[in-house]
Amino acid sequence: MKNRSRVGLGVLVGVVAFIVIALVFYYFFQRFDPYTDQAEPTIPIEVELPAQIKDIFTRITLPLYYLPNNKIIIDELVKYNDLNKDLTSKEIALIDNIWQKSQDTDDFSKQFKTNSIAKELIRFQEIYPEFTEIFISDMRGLVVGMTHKTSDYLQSDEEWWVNSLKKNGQSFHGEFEYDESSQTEAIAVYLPMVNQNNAKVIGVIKVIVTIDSIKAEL
Amino acid sequence: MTEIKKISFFNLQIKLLLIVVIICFFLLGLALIGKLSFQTIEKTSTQISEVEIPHLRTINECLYAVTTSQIAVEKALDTNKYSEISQVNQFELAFNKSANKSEMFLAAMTWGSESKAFAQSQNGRNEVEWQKANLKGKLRVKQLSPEKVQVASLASIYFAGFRNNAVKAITTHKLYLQLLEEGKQIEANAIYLESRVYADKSRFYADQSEILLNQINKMSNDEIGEAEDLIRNTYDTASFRLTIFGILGLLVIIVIYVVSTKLTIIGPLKKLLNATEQINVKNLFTQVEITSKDEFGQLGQAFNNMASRLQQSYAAMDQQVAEKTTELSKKITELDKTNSTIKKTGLAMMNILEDEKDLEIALKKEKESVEKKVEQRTLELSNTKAKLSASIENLPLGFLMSDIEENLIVTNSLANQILEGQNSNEKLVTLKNILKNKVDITSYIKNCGIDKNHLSFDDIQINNHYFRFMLSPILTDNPPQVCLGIVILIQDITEAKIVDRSKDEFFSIASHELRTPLTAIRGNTSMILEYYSKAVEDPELKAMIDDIHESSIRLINIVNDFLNVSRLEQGKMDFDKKEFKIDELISEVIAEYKTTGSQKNLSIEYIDTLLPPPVMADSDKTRQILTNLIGNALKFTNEGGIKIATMVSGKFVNVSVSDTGRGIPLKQQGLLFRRFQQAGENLFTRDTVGGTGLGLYISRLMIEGMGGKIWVEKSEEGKGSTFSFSLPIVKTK
Repeated sequence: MKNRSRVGLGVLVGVVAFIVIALVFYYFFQRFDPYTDQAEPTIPIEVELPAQIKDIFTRITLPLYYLPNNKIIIDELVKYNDLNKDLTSKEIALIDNIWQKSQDTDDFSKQFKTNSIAKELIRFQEIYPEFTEIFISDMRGLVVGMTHKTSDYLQSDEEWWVNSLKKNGQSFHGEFEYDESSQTEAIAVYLPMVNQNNAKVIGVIKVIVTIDSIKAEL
Repeated sequence: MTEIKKISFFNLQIKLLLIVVIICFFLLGLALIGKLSFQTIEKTSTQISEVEIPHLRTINECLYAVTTSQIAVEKALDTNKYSEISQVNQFELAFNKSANKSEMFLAAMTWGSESKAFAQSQNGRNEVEWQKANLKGKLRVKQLSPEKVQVASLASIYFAGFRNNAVKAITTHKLYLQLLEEGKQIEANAIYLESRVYADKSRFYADQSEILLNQINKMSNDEIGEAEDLIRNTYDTASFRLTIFGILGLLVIIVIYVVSTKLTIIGPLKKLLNATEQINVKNLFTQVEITSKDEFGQLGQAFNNMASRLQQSYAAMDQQVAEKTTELSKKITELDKTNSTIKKTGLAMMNILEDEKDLEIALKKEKESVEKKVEQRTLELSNTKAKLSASIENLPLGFLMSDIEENLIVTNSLANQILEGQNSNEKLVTLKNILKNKVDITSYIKNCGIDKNHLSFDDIQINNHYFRFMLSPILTDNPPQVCLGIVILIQDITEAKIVDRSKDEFFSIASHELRTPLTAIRGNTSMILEYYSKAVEDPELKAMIDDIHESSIRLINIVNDFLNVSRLEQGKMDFDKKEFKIDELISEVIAEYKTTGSQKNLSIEYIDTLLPPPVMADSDKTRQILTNLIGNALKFTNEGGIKIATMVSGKFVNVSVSDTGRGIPLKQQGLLFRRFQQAGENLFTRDTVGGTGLGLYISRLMIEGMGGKIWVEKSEEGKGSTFSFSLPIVKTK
């Protein structure tokens, strides 16, 4: 009996020691790393520009308000919305996969550069070359027309797209970023398209504006 | 008593394992704290050295370029005469250069100096400028953080504003100088005002750009400050954690160590100690309580066993002590008895001492009697010595006796005559010189007790006389035989030699002379028997002719033997030594004797277990020797058979001929290979079997002539004999 109680005491001491060690480890081995501890800085979607720059930027981007009101674009967008409304998430993921693998010249992606919306966008771009890239996504975030092939078919997973829904039809711009197509710094402008009857967003236009156009104005 | 189990190595170790595990955790913890702290410090330092410092340097370079370009613009606008237009151009050039540099640094920070965007910016101009400034690969500028990129982008926009307006300001200023030169004052003033507007704008934008760049500078400096604080904090925290962890860990280890050792080692040891003390005060019934199966449990078990044995031993010892006490009492009684006996013996010894005096008187008488006997014996010895000296002196041989020290003790007159010299030493020197080619007298004397050899040397020539020298050691009678010296006898054999030679010559001549008529007798009788048998029809006459023929053959053989002996002794026999196979020769000789063997109902076999190698000898002579040996064997064997065998012994092939005949007595074996000797009962008479007694003698001389030896292997009366001879093997190249 004594032997058993001694073994039991030994086990108890071992367990207590293990718990103490584990707690000590927990306390002492928490990493402290400024580059991992700090929360990721939230990317400012709407950068506050200095007044002077903002004026110039507003002036430059003024012609863009023509696009959400373009009848051809609206009609086509409605059609696409109607067409895509029954697509399941799986089907969208499948199309997105095909999109990512396809080339700029493939028939699949080419249709979005040659449809009525795309034609309108390209025509607009020819007049305003400072808008280096324009594309429109439908109410589900699927691309329906574009001037250049986008990297993804589905845009609804982008932060700007989510924010567009919250803006009640108000346009806004993003931060300064590098634009591959124009190989310059640029600012993206987002123009939500709203159904005037029910104030619901039916699509979002994304336009890349090169900052060279701002620089030229100074 | 309980059997003690075998001690397992891990019983106690497992119980103490907890301490080891805790210590391992402790050390691991210390190492981990150190490693994590070092990682943080290293990462922060890397951030400072690889990111923040290149940014600071780039910002400062950019600010410097902006300032330089501003100065260049101001200098260009500071001119008032057309004659200074070239300076304006130079300042314009300097401005452009600095402006390009500023744009380059801004682009490096915005996109990172190693990025594709930087390489493509301004149509590749920034990359070219970067290479020109020799910064490629030397200044790796990483892209600024997203907040800083926004600020840098704004700075670049403002800088573009500065550049645009500065260019316009310089261009209009140049026009202004030209209009002044042309004397168009009014137009010049208007242009001048325009130039000032552009200049003001450029200053504004340059200032804005500088403000933003300084803002980035400040942000970077702040980050460096934060990083430095972090390194300090990390160091302080690590020190604190290491200290606390160290103390806590040590406390835990000590507590566990104390508890473990108390439970596993000290507790059981204390019990054992108490039990040992109990045994020490003769409480032999003490037993330890066994509570574990480890080494201490086994030790306790062993202790209990030991205590039981001790208890039993004590009981047995008590019994033995009682028995021994009884025995001791008995012994004491016996000792008392012995003491009384010794007392009686003492008295008897006193009586013996009195008897000793009588003994002394008797001894005196005996001594006188012995002395008389010695005198008588000495007289007898003197007489004997005189007789011995006379005998030696009158010997027909030279006599010399030397002691072990090489001193000639005795010599007779004949020896003195033979050996020249005045004294003993000179005679010994003469003797040594005479025998120097035969034997070393000194070493012979030295080893005479070991070798015990009797030596004899014939034909020693001194002054036209031939002598035989015989040397013998003088050994004590009783073993171990010790050599006291040597005796040398010198015999004059000149006369005997002359007689012997005459005898040899007589034999030689007689043999030659006898052989010719004998050959004629044999030839004629042979022809009579072969060709005129019909003419000799009378049986008695035919028997007589047969006898003549056989006797002539026997006589020829005897004469041939004599001739061979004569040739061999005189060294006139030639040996035609060639390589041949001894086994083949043996087979041939056996074939010759097969018929004779069959007639006597005797078998002749050759036992060739191993084929002997070829030998180098005269095959005819070897055949003769083999024929002689097999012939002898057949002659003296009536039952059984003859076996011939070969065996390789060193560089020789030994051929042995064994028979089952009557054998040779041991004392006659030594005389077998001498001239005219036969193995008969009497040494001085000839055997009844017949023969000249020269066969073995001739065989010996022949075999020695071919470099071999012949000997009697073994011989036993009634059982048979084995004769062997050896022949040299052909030397292989």
